[in-house]
Amino acid sequence: YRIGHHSTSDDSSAYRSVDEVNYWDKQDHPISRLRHYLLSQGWWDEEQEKAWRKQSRKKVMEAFEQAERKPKPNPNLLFSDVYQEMPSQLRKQQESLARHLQTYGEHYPLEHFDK
Amino acid sequence: MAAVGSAASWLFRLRAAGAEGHWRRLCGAGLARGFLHPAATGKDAAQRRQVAHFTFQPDPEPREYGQTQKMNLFQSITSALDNSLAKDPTAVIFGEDVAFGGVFRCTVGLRDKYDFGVHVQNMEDSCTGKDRVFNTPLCEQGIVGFGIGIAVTGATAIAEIQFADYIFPAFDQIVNEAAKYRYRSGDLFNCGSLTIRSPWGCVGHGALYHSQSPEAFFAHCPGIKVVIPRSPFQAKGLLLSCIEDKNPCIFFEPKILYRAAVEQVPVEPYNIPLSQAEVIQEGRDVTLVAWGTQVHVIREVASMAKEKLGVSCEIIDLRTIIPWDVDTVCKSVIKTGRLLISHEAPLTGGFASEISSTIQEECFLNLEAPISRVCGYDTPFPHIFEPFYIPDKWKCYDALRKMINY
Repeated sequence: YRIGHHSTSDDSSAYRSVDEVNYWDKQDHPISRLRHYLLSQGWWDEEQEKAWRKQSRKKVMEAFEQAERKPKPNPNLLFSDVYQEMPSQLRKQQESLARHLQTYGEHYPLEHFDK
Repeated sequence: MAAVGSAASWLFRLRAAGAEGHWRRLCGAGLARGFLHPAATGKDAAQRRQVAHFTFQPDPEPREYGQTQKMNLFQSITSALDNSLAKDPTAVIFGEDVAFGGVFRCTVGLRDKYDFGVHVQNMEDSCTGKDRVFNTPLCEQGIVGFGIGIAVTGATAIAEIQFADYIFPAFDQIVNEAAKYRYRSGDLFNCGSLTIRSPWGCVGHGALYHSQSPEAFFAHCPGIKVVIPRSPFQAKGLLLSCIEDKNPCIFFEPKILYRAAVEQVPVEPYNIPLSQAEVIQEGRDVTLVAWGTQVHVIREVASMAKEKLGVSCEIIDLRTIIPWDVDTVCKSVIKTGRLLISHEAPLTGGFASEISSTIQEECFLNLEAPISRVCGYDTPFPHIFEPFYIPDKWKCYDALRKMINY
């Protein structure tokens, strides 16, 4: 079941009831059910849960930060992989962009892209 | 229990709520807001937020059509659709998600407004909103095929394809059925009361499948009309003309303008003629032709040319792609001797190539320089490389400068 909205542009309350979403989220969530099973079997506890959540959150945030620090690929790659081989017309367009950026580069967000 | 159970939605909320104050997105707060303006805060906001490559220039308030109201592009579309449903009892609007208002809010309120309920004795006369504005399955081929069927019965079919990028499954229906219906039946039958509307063009972050401008594919198909407005006032008048036109029409709506373009638009219905380009600024030295969002880009290029080069530009909004207004463009090029055409769609086979070809045939001896085309590259529409891909004002300005110095 899709708990979240379809996308950041979507407000799913326009086409499904909040009750329905809450049911799946709070009462019948398969991950909740697994967690209860693990608890009942004595294979998991609240303390581990807390620690694991904290650790996971940290890992995710670190991954985000690391990724955000990386520059985006070089704009030359705009022209890669259209075909297996690059047609000569496309290479000319690639060259024309390179020349354009030499003159007008200040108007483009080049600082966020790989040199 | 609930906390863990919501692990999935936790991650979602992490993204949405900016747990560490690192990054926040507006989520679900208005349908189109997230898509059209992905919000970002924090130190990386500048990295994520892209400044628009154009500035919308509203036209002066129209005086000849009665009372006007401030509307953005999607509101002007709603107004046109509202007018159509009001005066044409056979008009119906359908597509994916149109019933609740549409992913860009173009059909907000219409289903309820035209829900007259079963208030009449004669059941055949009753009509509910469900019959006027309704959802279809996720099937573009079906949306258009169904629309053709409605139109053939004589009713007014207004179909929506949620993004122009998704129009291709309907391509066969449009090209082989809709476009040829009148011709193949020797005018015994037609689907002229079909209009297909679809969000079109770059939006800053649409990437491969939410940014396309497919007008060139349809330009190659006799029997349909393709229309692209640059503004709310133009959109309402052109859309009403498409709906009333006796030929199947495709109306592409520049999605980046849905909220960004605001101007005074008449409340009452009015028509802007199809197949008529508009000279929005007169000039002497060079003719600039574009449509949709790109008109605002070349407007700025014209200012830059005036300021930096002392060059006077004539700006033409083509408005109808096919059948296109050859005469207006010719007349302009005969005067100026130079032509620059610009569109987001890829260069090769783009509609600029048709304009260029025809103009050099008709106005060869008037040309002072080769016709210039400033377009997208011959690649799929990229995601993060969008700022480098689009034919922005700097590329257009550079091409204009080279043409002047030819």
